[in-house]
Formats: sequence, structure tokens, C-alpha cells
Amino acid sequence: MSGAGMSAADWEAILPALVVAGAAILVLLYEAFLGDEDDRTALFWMSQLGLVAGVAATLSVWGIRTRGFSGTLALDGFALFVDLVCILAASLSLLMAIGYLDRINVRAGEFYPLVLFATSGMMIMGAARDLIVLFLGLEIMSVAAYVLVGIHRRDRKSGEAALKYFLLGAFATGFLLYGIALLYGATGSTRYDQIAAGLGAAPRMMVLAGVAMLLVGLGFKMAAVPFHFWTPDVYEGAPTAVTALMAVGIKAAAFAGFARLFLVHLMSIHPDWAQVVWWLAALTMTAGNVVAIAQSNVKRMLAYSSIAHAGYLLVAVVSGSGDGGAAVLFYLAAYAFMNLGAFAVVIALGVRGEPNEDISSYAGLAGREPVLAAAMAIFMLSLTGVPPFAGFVGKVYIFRAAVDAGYLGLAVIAVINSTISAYYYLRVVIEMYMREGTKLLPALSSRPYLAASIFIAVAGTILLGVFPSSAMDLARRSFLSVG
Amino acid sequence: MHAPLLTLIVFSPFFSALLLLLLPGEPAGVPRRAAFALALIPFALSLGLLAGFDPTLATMQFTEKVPWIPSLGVSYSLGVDGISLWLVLLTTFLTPLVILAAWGDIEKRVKEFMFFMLLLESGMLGALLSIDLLLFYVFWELMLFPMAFLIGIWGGPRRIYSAVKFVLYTMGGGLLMLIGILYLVLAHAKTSGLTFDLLAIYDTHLSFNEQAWLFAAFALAFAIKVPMFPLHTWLPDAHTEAPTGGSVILAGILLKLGTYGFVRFALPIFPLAARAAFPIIVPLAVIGILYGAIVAMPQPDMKRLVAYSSVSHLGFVMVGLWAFNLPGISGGLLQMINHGLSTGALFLMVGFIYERRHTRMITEFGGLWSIVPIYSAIFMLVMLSSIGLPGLNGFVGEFLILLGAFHANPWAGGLATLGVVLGAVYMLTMYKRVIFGPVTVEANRALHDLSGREVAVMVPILVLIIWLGVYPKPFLDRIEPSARAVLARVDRPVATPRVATAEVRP
Repeated sequence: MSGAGMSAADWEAILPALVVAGAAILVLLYEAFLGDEDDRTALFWMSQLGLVAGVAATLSVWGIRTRGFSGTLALDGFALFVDLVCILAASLSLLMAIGYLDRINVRAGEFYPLVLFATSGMMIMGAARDLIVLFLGLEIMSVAAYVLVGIHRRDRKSGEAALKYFLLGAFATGFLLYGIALLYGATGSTRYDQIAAGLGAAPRMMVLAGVAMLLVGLGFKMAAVPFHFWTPDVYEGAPTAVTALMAVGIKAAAFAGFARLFLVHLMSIHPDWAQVVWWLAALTMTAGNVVAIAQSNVKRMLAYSSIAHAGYLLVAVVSGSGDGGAAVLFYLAAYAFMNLGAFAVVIALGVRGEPNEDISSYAGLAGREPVLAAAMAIFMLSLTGVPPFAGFVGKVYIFRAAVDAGYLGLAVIAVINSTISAYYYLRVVIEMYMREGTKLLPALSSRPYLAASIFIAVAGTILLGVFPSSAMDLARRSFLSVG
Repeated sequence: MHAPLLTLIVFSPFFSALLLLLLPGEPAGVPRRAAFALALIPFALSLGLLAGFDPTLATMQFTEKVPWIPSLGVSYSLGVDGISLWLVLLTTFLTPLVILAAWGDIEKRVKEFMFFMLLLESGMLGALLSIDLLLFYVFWELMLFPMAFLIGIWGGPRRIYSAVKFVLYTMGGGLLMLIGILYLVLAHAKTSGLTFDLLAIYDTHLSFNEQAWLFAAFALAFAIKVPMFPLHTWLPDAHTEAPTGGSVILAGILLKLGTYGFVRFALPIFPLAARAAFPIIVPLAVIGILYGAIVAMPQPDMKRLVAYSSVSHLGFVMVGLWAFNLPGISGGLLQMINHGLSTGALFLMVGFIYERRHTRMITEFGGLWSIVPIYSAIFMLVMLSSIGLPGLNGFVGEFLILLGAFHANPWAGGLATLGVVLGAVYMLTMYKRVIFGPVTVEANRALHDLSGREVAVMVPILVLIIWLGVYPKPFLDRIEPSARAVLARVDRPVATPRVATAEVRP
């Protein structure tokens, strides 16, 4: 950095996150002038516009590879890929939220700027190449998320979830900070490349302890076992649109931060952390899937399923290869579409006063709402990993990376888990198609925003599954450019 | 250059299925007629395939290849040879007949039934015609779910249990195969290029250990599908609950994908392991033959009886394949077609009587000969074809298989022959109890004979049953070159002398 001003590289590196955060401030200001009874639709459109501007900003710096702020913030394909996934998650969550918030009587206009703030935090996490910047992004994201989880103030579950998430989240952040301190103590820097350079001469135990603490802090946000205990309650209690954002966006950001640090800068100690992450992956997949079987609430089932998917992503990280990193990126994109879609369907089933989250509410859906049922079936099959949907290609990519790196055992555990997961995902399909039910729903066509989110999710799930090539190449190039 | 005939064959049912969704579902006649007409398209196309097929070649014909996921080495690659040709024709032949038969059987959600049936056809055709390993896997999984829907929506009282069991068994085996495929491709990539192309993969150098493990992964997936004893337990459940159309396709074609997988993948890619597995596969196949037959005997439910007879018959196919000689392998391939016709026809016959009486219990019938003569006569022909009466299709295949088996291992041949005898026992007993004797249940007196539509379903199958029995040469002519090619791969000179199973050349 030269002089007091910001250099061009600084501006470019921060631009996408800055645009989204700027939009958040504008929406927040506008909201302040709204009366209690005024329509919230304008806020929605402003926020979507802000996200579109974020995409535009991302595309405007596309292909540039540089670093800002003394090398602490990266601008590279990896960061931009993560930006797009996070913006997608935010945008679809907003589409789901607009009608949903009305239904649950949440009038709080700050919902929209908070989603944008959380998104900008995620984007910073994807670009961070310094532990302090990573922490900064994580906190911007998390503080917004704590409020979002509890935004349904009259609902006791929502309040409980917010408190739980906040307390445990603060605890996990403590671990993260402790890890940062240890690594700083061991290597004399918080910048990734300087940490990497200092690893050789650093006291080994201190490094390992620091890395372990980082794993705990990030594992919490990823919802990896055994740091997942908050997940089911928080996911179930939070308003569903927020759950969707958390299950996809926050997870993606945490994995992005994790992958950049571990798969690039901590590769010299890969044998050390791979053992631990191997166990985390195996445990996360297995616990997530096995416990998901027992759930009869679909939202809670999706919470456990999101734990299981964190496990698959960890498999890709364990492999420690460029393919593994690219597989993480591709899987995050695939997962974003199919999982957001599933949450959108959960919202679509609810009516005022009745969330209809129990699996029995899905009975006979195919007869009454064939399009909605078909969409849900596609999401469920894709989450199971059935071709020709996005989840299948994502899994093939991950398994391939694992097999290539010699982690055959882990790959076998992963496929056994996929089979287990078929059992509970299919249960939803079975309810919809093979049982009779009578619950009536408002027609999907009367809810255009929600229908749009489901449509986008279906399109993404199919396109990434049938024509995965360009997205896969993008993920590869993006990971290759990481630094 | 030629028109992408195989693509048209594979995807015409898929697009037909989508088209069907746009049509009104009521009255039920609309989707019924439309589905039948649309299902004739792939059949017509595959007749064109048969006409253009060069019987002298052992290589893949009508090949198409377009990169699909180039960065992983996956391509959309189709081809047909003597191994898949008849199975493709069987698929396109049986599907319209099944749809026609379902006109009377399926009353609720007719449009959806036809949709899934056509989707299933695309999946099966794709699996048969793929010569890229990942593409094959994609279609392999794709055919699983439509079948699960057919069982789960239109099946009997325990349909959901059966559908889930079917999915979990098949998927579990399939996913391990996926890991095997990935390992195999990566092993191939170490020495040659990164590709999922089967023809290139055939030449992968693998140590015996690698072969053994990979063979196990593939064999598990295929053996569940066949199904081989003791992995067969999903089959009687699936058949008992499935609607008639589902059972016909399941027995007629889906199970063949298991034996097809052995011939296409497991034998030629892992010849050392396949030979070494002789002491495991052949005893299990023989046990399957005898066990299927013995368990079929006391079954009170006709459909369950036919289901167990499938376990028995597919054991024959496996014994034939593992004879590692020309009569065995080409007999096995031919028997796959025969079994598809005979057992498909048997399920249709059981289905017709079930539509009328809503029961399949053998004790509920008796003396049908005097009441429904056309039904009884056709049933007899079908039943005789199933037990392998000379002059009908079943005989040719079984004869070749036993010929091959006696060459390879007289014990296996001898025990398998015992299975033929047992097969005659349970089939004839069942037929006798249902068709002959006095009329014991009054309700049967009101039965009406086969309708014109039902006769129209059966006649094409009967024609083939007799044709294959009397003059199988055109069929065998097209099978043999490819069977030889498989044999050449299994027999290719090997350095490892660890394999010491019976190697009798034809």
C-alpha cells in the first residue's frame, strides 16, 4: 500500500463485498424512514438490486488476480466463485422470505439489510488470507446471523435458537481467536503466506494446537461433528428463510475460509491435520445421516442432512489436492441450488399459523401440487446423489478426489453414507407420491416470488447435473488461481 | 457418418414421457393410447438398428461419442454389439406390450404410470448402450427410480416396503461400484490417458489384488441385480408387490442388466479375478438354481412362484457365463433373451388372471381349462417355454449353457441339470393345479377369456418363443462374434499363474 490512500488493488479486492455492504447500508437507511404499516416490497427489491450490483462488481473484477490491503485480502477466482455462491444463497433466501415473513407476522424491515451484511461477511471470509481478516468476515456474518435467527420475536423457538446460536457461537469464536493467537505466537504473523513460510521453524506443538483450535472454530460454523450440537435446534427454530441462508451461505463461507487456509497455506502440514479431518469427515457424515433417519420434522431432517453434507465436503478437503479444492467449490454450488430449493419447498408447504413441517404434511402432495412435488423430488434425489442431478456430479467429483489421493476407505464410508441418506430423503418422496393425503395448500402460482426461487433452484440442480462441464471447469480454474 | 440412431433410441422414450405430461390425464384412454403409440417409436427405431447391424463384426457399431465432462474424461459414448443388440430389442419390444397390457390393469394415475414406464425404458436402453463407464452408471441409477415409483405407487399392500428395499439394495451395490469405477479410471490414467471409455479401460493394467477388489465391487452391484443367491431377498418382495407391468419389466429386462454387467464389465475388465472367482460364483449360481426351484415349489402365490423361478433361471445364465467357453457364454446371452420373453409372459398371464379375480393364490383356481380355453392354451405354451421344452426358446439357451457347463466343470453341469428337472416339477404342478381338475371355486365360473387386446399382447411374444425355439440361428449369429470377443479378453495370455481353475476351451 502506498501512502495513506487505498491502492487500485485494495479497491478491486474489496469491491464485491463493499458493494453488498454498501447496499445494506442504503437499505437500512431507507428502512428507517418507513412507517410500521408500509409495504416492505421496496426493501426486497432494493436488496435484490444490491445483490445484482454485487454480481456486477464480481464480474467487473473477473480474471484479475491480485491482493489488497498488504496481502491480507485476495482477489482471485476462488474468492469470486465463493462470492457468487454466497450471493446466490442470499438472493434465493430473500425470494423465499418475502411472502414467508408476512405469513409469520415478522414486520421487521431490518431483515433485508441484515441478510446483506451477513452476505458481505461471507464474501470477506472467502477472500481472507489473513487470520484477522478471516475473523472479521466471520464476525460480520455471525452477528448478522444471530439477529436473523431470532428475528421472529414472538416465537419462543426462534428466541431460544438465537440465544443458543449466540452463546455457542461466541464460545466457538473464542476457540478461533485462541487458535489465531497460538499461530501468531508460533510463526510471528497472522498472514497466511507468512504463516506458511514460518511453519518450518515454528514450535510444532504450538502450531498443531493453534490449527486444532482453528478447526474447532470453523467446524462450528460448518456444522461438523462434534461441533454440531447447536445445528438442529437452531435450524429448526430459526425462520426457514434464515435457515436456508445459514445452511448454504454460512456453510459455504466457512468452507471457503477453511479450504483457502488448509488446502493452500497449511499443505506442508497436511499429514498432520488430514488425520484429524479424516475422522471429522467420517463422523460428520455418519452422525448426520444416521440421526437424520429418526427425524419426522422435515426442517430438522434437513438440518441433519446439512451436517451430513458438511461431511462430504470434508472428504474433499482431506484429499488435500487441487481436485479436492475444486470439488469443494463445485459441491458448494450444487449444494446451494438443491438445498435452497428444498427449504423453499418447506416454506411453500406452510400456511398461516401452521408451518406443516411434519413429514406427514407431505402425504399425497403429488396429487394436489404436482409441480411442487416434482421439484421436491428432484431436490431430494439430488441431495441423495442420484444422477442426472447436481448432487450426483458433485459427489462423483468429491469421491474421485478422495480415491485419487488414496483415501479409499473414506470414499467407501462416504458411499455407505449416501445409501443411508437415500432412506430419509426417499421418505419425503414416498410421502408425496405413494401415500394419500388431504392437506390443502395455497396454490404455488399465487406466490410468484417463492415459485421463482423454486424454479431457479430446479434449473440449477438440473443444469449442473446434466451439463456440469463448464461449472466444473470454472471451479477448477478458480481453485487453481487461489493464493 | 450416420444419423445418431442410438441417441434417438435412448431418448425417444424420455421425450415421449415429457410429452405425455403435457397431455390431459383424463379420460384414461388418452394417456393409454398415447403412451402405446409413443412406445412404438423406439421399437421401430430399433428394428432399423437390427436391419443395419452387421452380424459379422464383434466390435461396437453405430458408435457415437461426444465429450460430456472433458475435464474428468467422461464422454457421452454409445455403441451396440452382439451382447447388447438383442437386449435393446427386447426392451423396445416388451415396453409397448407392457403398456398395452396395463390398459386393463392400471386404473389410477394412468398418465403417471405411463410416464414412469417410458422413463424407465430410457434408463434401461441407456444402460445397455453406454460404453462410457460413468454414463453407464448414470443410466444404471436412472432406471432404478422409475421402477421404485412403479412398485411404490401401483403396487400391492406392502408396496412401500418393497420399493424402499429395492432402492436400498440396488443403490448400495451401485455406489460401491462407483468407487470401483473411479479407482479403475484413475489406475488407467496413471499409464494411459484419463478416460471413462470402456474400450480403453479394457486394457488397463491391474495387479491381481486390484482386480480382485475391483471385481468384488462390480460383482456386488451386478449380483444384487441378477439377483444371485444370497442377495436375492429383495426380488420376491419386489415382484409380489409390483404391478404386472412392473414385474414384466423387472424380470424381463432389469435383472438382465445384472448379467449384462458381468459380461460387459466384470469379465473382460478383470479376467484374472473373474477366473479366480469361479469357486465362489459358480457354487452360488448353482445354489441359486436349486434354491430358487426348491423354494418355488411350495409357494401358494403364483407370482411369488414365478419370482423364485427367476432366481433359478438366472442362476443358469451365471453358470453359462462362468463356463468361459463359447457355448456357455453365447448360451447365457441367449438365455437372457429367452428368460425375458418367457418370464415376462408368465407374469403377464398371472396378471391377466389377477385382474379378473384379484387373487393369485393357486388354491383359488382349478379347472380353468373348460372356462377360459384361450387363456389356458397360451399359458401352457408360455409355461412350457419356461421349463425349456425342445422346440421352444428356453430349450436352446439351457442346452447351450449346460453344454458349456459340462465342459467347464461336470459337477456344475450336473447340478444345474437337476435344476432343469426341478423347474419342470414346480411349473407343471402349478399349471396342473390352476388349469386342470374340477372347478373348485364358484367365482371362477364367471371368468371371461382373454380379450382381443390381451391376445394381441401375447401373440408377438408367442411368435418369438416359437421362432427362437425352432430357428435360433439369426439370433446366435449376431451374438457369437461378440461372445468370442469377450472370451478372447477373458482368455488373453496372463503372466500370473495364480489362476488354476478349469480352463477347458470349446
